[in-house]
Amino acid sequence: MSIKLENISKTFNGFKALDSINIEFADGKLTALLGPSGSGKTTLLRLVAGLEIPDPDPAGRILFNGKDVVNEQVGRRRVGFVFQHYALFRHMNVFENVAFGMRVKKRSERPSQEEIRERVFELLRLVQLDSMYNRLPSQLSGGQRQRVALARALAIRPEVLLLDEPFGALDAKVRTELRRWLRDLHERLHFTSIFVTHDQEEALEIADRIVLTNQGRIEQTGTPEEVFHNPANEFVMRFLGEVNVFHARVDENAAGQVSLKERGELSDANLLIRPHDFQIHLENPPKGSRIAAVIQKIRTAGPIVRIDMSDEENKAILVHLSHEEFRAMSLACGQRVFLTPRQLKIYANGKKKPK
Amino acid sequence: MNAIKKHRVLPGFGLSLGTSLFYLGLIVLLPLSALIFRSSALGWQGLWEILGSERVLRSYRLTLGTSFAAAGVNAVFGFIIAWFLVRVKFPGKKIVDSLIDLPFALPTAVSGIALTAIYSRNGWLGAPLEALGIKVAFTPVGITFAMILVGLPFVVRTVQPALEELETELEEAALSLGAGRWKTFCRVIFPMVLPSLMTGFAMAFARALGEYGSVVFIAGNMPMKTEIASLLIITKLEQYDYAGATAIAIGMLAISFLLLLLINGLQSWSSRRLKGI
Repeated sequence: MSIKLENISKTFNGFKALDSINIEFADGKLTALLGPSGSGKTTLLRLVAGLEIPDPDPAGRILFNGKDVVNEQVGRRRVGFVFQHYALFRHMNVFENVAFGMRVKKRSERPSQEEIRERVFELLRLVQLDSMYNRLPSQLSGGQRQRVALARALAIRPEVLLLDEPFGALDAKVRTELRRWLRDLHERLHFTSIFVTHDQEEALEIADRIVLTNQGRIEQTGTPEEVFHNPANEFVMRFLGEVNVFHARVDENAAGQVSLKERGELSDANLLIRPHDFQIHLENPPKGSRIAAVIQKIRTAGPIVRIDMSDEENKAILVHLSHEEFRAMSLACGQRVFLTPRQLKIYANGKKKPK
Repeated sequence: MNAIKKHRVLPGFGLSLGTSLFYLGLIVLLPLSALIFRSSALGWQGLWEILGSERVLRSYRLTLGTSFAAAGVNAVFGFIIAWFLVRVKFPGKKIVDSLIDLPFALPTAVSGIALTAIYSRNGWLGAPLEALGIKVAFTPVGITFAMILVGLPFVVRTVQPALEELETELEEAALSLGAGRWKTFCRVIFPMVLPSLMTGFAMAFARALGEYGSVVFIAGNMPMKTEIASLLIITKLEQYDYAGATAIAIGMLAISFLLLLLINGLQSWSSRRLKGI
């Protein structure tokens, strides 16, 4: 099912959480709503679910397959909602939690006991918890609870699955396992899913599309590759990973040519370089922009080598190297090196500058 | 003992244990044992005779029945009031909130006289109710009303925090799964608040059992009809029948203790179920 939001705003006590949002979620895709806390991403998700009502003025529309559902109640939208803190019913065991959505149906629509039983076990097998059907939520680990919550949401055969920071309350290892598992599940079931996260790694890893939100607005929409390699603005670039920021002056006359010598407080543009986009030279390279830096700290624990450096103005610079590169260079603390950027992005007033 | 003490992180374990036991012994157990000591003069035979007498049995039945009814009514309306106070925002909420505690502070004799004035045959409510054929003053109904008044804050004050703790996410989850408001209430909210509601019920019930001041004025105190146990005890005391009075009290205490034990057992069972311990 495709979901489309047209001109949707939401205000809480005078605070504009969402400002005239227009967005479309494609059918069968897993979309990540990514942004810092307070950026409106959860509000957006809750609006889709029907847990919040958009501002009546100016009137916006929420279209499910082209049908306006703004006035439709949450229970009638057929959305599966998964909460950050699971929101499992504590007094019901796993089986009853999953069966809840079927048990509360009107008598005429309610499946028989046998059908409910079958469906619940089918779902519990899907989330690999069928052996725990009679446990109480408190007897499960966080990851297991979230899987129960997911099975419970799927029990009503939703057309959309909405997940509000589903792995936010879990520890790192379980989180990575669960998000791969969610990706697999999505590949098998293929319905429209939207999940909220503030973890860019999570979004980049499992989403088909990423929607970046900031201060109630959408900053960029695209595939993980698009948003990572072509950030629309400085916010997106900064949010999607570690970055070194240099202030610079842009010489408009020279077609946007930038000289690092002119960086300083008198800046009208920011020059952003990812830590892995630096080339390290042991000797001063003969030409081009370069930064003289001193190595302050080297951390080799991890998949990449992280090197803290400081430039002539004592500004911190972070450089990432592969272990191979690092071994080949034999770098040491206190050593003086020269950096040249392989790739950089320039944004004036947060916006992209043409090259 | 020593082993426990050694591994405590918080200081003052011995001191607080000693204080608690000493205080409980002095304030609760000592008077209770005096009660048993007093009535022991009667012997089993005498105790049984007094407890088995028609008048005492009837007063027990009346006290337990009206207390149970009052606690039941309070459980229903106390829940609704607590819900209202937690969920509805309205001007003057603080005032209504503190109004709930008034029965705690009101001298019971005052509330008794006030109730009698309202529900007596020519009172504000007594007269119209009498016209409908409902007699309140000097009947078990009146006794129940008095007990409702003194027991209400117990239910409200125990249910309120439980409702405040209830995450709205649970309701949203139920709603998103297609449950209507009523089913969400019955299947999700009510079961989660039930343990505290039972605690509130038990406290209101216990309070009603021991109530004297507010009941005697409205009860009329007719032996065999509207004579509650605590009144019967006072009557015995006035006749200098200390052993008889304590015997009735002990019977009452035994029944109350068993009932409260039962309710608390149910309450802890249901809350254990919630926490899954």
